[in-house]
Amino acid sequence: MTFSDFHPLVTAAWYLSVLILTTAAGHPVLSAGAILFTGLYSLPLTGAKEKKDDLFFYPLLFLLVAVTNPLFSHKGRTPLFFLNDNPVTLEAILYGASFALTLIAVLLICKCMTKDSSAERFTALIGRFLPKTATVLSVALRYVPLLKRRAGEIREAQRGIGLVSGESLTDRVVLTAKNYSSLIGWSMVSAAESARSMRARNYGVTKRTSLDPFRFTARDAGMLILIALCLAVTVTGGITGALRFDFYPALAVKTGAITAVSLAGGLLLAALPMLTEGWGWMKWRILRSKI
Amino acid sequence: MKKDLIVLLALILLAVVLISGIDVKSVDEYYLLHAEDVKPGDPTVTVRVDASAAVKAGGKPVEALLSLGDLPPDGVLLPDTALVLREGDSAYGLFLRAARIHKLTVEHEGNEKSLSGVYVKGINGLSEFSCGSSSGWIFTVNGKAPETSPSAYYPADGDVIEWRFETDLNGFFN
Repeated sequence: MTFSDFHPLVTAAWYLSVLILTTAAGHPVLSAGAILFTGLYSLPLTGAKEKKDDLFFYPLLFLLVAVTNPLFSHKGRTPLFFLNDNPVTLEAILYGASFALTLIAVLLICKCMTKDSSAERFTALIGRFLPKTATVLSVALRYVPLLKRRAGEIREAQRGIGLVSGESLTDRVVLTAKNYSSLIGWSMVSAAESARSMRARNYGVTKRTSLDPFRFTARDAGMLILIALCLAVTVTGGITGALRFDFYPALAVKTGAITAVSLAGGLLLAALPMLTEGWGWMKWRILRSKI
Repeated sequence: MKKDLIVLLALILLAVVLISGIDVKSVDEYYLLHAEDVKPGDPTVTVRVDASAAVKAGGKPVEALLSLGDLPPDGVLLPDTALVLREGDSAYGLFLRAARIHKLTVEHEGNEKSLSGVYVKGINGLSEFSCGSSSGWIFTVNGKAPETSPSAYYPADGDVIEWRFETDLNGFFN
């Protein structure tokens, strides 16, 4: 049992609600929770090299955003030191850190979305109402891995004919820029070619039928209700102001029972895919024959 | 390899130029401890910072500052303060000196040495746009707003320099 076994409607509802909640609330606890839970959920979905890259990339991004914000925003009432006579404040650093958490949470959620959602799920979800949008979306989703593969091919070809000496860093940077231009050229030509080819084969002339391999079961309904409940609890807390987390001019954090309940709702929402995955893993461990 | 060295040299040069333009002061260094001794006969300039218009207009950012005590209830951040006018003092330089003595933070954009000069965005947390999109700080000398940047204006003996928060700068200049 994995999260992508649910009906596309359920997964889409989860992704939408957790994305909107994380960005709209901007609460560091919710963002940190989303990072933790989606990070754990994405572990089995990512390869070893990607994991290593992520471990380098996300902390770097965090530092960059957390350091950059106080350089440009001088709001806040606790100056730590003065840079060219402008105050560098504690509040601005904390806001930068909180914003970086939100940013990383959104990136991780989107990463999980591209990993566990196939084009099939997109078309099953919106193909009936917006067939053109569904096609464009599935083509766009395919583009990132396609471009990566093509960039690799160009690099290999150039290495093959001896263009890359591998000595000078400057040369390599210049060559990468050149590769980029040939990659764009190649992709444009192939896009035009496939459009022509599709037209030549009468694509889109008659009305198409669609296959919907997904069934909405009682389990899907249960998960959807759980998502709605979590969302309702947190949104109610947010509307009543229990999730207020102000950085400027001074740090002002709301605490109390209502805040705790709405935070718990948001964290449970963020943890749902990880819990599903964990439940499936536990079942596999327990039911596996020990012979 | 030679190309790499040239690029590396250029990068180091750029970094040195950037770092040489950075001036870091600790909080204690920034806030000058001693008020100036004004001897009779010294040329002086009076500096004052007034945000009473912001207090009158109210609004969320202003109320937050009032409740924290960063903005006094009458809005006068710095009452009339006499400073000794030294050779080469600009209006901005004098204002910054007064702010450092009286523990006000100044948020500014630009550089005293640059052609476009300095623009003061905020004083003690009260920043531009706090009371609507055309509110902000304006500096006046003897009640009139000069048509230069404060870092390019050199006051004379006996001038009164005032930093005033205006809620409608469009109306102020038209």
